[in-house]
Amino acid sequence: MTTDPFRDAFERMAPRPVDPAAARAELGALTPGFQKARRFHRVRLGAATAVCAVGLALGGPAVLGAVGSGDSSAPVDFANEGEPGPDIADAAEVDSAVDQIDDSSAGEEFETPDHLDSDGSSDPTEDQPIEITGVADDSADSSVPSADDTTTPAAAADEVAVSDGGSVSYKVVDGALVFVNHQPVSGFEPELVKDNGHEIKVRFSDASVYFEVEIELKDGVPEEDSTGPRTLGSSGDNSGSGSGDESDEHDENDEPSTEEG
Amino acid sequence: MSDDAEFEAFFVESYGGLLRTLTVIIGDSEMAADALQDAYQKAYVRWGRIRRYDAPAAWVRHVAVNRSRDLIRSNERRRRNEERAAGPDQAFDPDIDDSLLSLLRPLPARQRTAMALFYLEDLSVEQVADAMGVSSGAVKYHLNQGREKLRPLLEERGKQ
Repeated sequence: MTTDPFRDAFERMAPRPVDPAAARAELGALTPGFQKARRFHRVRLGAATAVCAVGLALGGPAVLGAVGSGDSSAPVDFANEGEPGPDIADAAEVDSAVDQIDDSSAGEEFETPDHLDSDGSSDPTEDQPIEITGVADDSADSSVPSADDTTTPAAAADEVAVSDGGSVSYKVVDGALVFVNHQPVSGFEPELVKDNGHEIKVRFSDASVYFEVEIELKDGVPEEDSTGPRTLGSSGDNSGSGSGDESDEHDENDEPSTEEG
Repeated sequence: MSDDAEFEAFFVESYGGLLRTLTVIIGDSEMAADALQDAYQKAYVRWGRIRRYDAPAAWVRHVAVNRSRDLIRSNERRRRNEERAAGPDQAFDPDIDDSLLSLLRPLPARQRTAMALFYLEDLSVEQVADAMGVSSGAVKYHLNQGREKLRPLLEERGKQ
């Protein structure tokens, strides 16, 4: 028996806790929903992982930057997804602060990584077998990179130049420009036009247009340029989304085209 | 022990006490169960990580307490509406012993939460602060304010 009258009152007057059998029955009723949530969570993680992988393969940081260019005004605490929020010293601010922390959004809608998880989203269900093809498990020992991984694939060490027709991976080794590979966008055929150690030029063409990606080593620093779209077999100009200024360095059989900013 | 079996053991061990505490905090056993369901679901999804915590129940408690904020507002709105329709003392969950709930009902949610965690969960001030996401000083303040309001109510009940 304590001497604290409040503790006595709470112990005496509080409702009785649910017994273990009832708790077990409750869990049995909740488990299907839990499992569904876990599968959904894994699908989201898998999708996030796939987006990262595709982004890195196609365009590297540029593509990822474009993909992630949505509104990110609300900062997400990736270290505490679905978990307790910031400490609030002022008691009067408890309510408003907790509102901001709203864990339901943290864990569910945007399970933040520990989250790319939000919801808290971001998470380890590591020891569970993966039930959905193509879904990444965020377990520590998984061979599939999780959304929380901060490391990037080995290929990411290469530089990537991007155009709307595809991307070109390259690197600088001992002062020379080294072509690594090209990744055409679906429907485009890549052609390595130039690769001489200080200049790389790749053309991505489909049935009617082509894009070119050029990388030139200037004073030891690679400079990227992308042009296009240009129309095959015509001298007309094409509007397009080429990011770079059009270069004068066309091959003889290149169709003349007007610059597209 | 498999993950599912481990989670089940964790759930069975912690659910009853947390449901009681959340019921006292929110004032409604169904809403408390909803808040706990959300929290346990998050724990289940992340069980591979949560299971390695020193106190997985503390994580669930924290999530549920955060969730209870919204539910408390919702419950208070509902209670006000019910009071208008049926008069006072009809709003709290009728399915449970409401002696403690009715005693705590006049307290603001923060004070109710602090007292429930402190006295029912038997947490330290620091643990209550962690569960509520506030400072220890704020918890002490809420506990003192709650005691001041409860004292005359308990004395009055003692006389009855």
